[in-house]
Amino acid sequence: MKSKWVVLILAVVALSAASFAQTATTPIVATKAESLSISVSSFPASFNVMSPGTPQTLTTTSSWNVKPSRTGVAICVSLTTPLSGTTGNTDVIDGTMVQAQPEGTGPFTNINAGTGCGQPTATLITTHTANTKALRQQSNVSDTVAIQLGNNIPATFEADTYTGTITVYASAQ
Amino acid sequence: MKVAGGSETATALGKVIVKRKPKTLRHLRLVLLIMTAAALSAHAQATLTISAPAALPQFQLTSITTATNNLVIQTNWNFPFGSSHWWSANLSICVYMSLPMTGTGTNTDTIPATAVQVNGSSIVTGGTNCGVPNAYPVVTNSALSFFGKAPSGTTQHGSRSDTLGISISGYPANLESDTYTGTINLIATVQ
Repeated sequence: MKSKWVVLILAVVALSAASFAQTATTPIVATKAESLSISVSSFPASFNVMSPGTPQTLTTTSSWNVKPSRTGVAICVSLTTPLSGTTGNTDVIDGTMVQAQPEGTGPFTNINAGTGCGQPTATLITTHTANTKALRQQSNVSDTVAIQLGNNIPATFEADTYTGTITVYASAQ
Repeated sequence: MKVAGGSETATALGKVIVKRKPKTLRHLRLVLLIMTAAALSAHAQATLTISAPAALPQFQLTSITTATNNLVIQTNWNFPFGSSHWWSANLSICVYMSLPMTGTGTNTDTIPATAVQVNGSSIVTGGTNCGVPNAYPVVTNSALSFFGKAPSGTTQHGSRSDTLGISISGYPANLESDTYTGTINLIATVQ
């Protein structure tokens, strides 16, 4: 009889298996996208062709939230559409006749002479450093550029109203 | 004269009477023998696997509580006769995160594990499940099989698929723009 109980106990012990576990992993990935915006907040936008060299100030407003790997945010300006007159007038004020002075300091240069912001024809206004979290997350940053007509506009240009387009850029570097 | 499974007694008349043990007792011995042999057998191996067959879609941190993405967990088991759990098996499945989600390079911002939600609740539970502190219980002690009585819909060899709604909520609003990566751990236990 004792042997039966031994067998029974052995069986129960054998059947009382210890718990066991299996594991696996799966990645979880989330992305917060960069954001960058710029607008022209102030620009009188009216020049007297007969009075070249009279600058007017263009003000940009920018906001950004860029990756830690960025080193800065560049602000640029260019004349993307030459100034043309009204119907029948073929005279054009192009980029060689419009000048820019970044942040109001230094010499005036042709507005399309540079290659700022990765553009083939743009003047770099400034580059904002982005080496801290606070500098990578900026709102309503103002920058200015003085714009003037050069004195190389031919005196033979027709009397007219000339209209063009200035484009401003913000570029994460 | 000897008879297997019985005993012999000699009478005064020299006649041998064989007393066989009751059938139930013999059957019990047989069952115990089989059970012991089976339990001690090294041939039958219990298997249990858990996996996430498809990668969790990437989350876009465009709102404080993100959209919900489904994570499917596949669990398979096989407890053949003679294996460690053929007699009785209670399955538990949990998910957990041990570390926060981290960004790239020099970015020190993180998304804490507490911000990761499973079906609307934090994956960090504060309790111990599947033997893991803070694990989120997906299945708790689900009976898979019992000797002589198989619960409905379960067998000793089977699988199950669980779909979890994963979202991220409550992460810092000024989190840096970046890609954040973490690890969700899956665990299946059998007792």
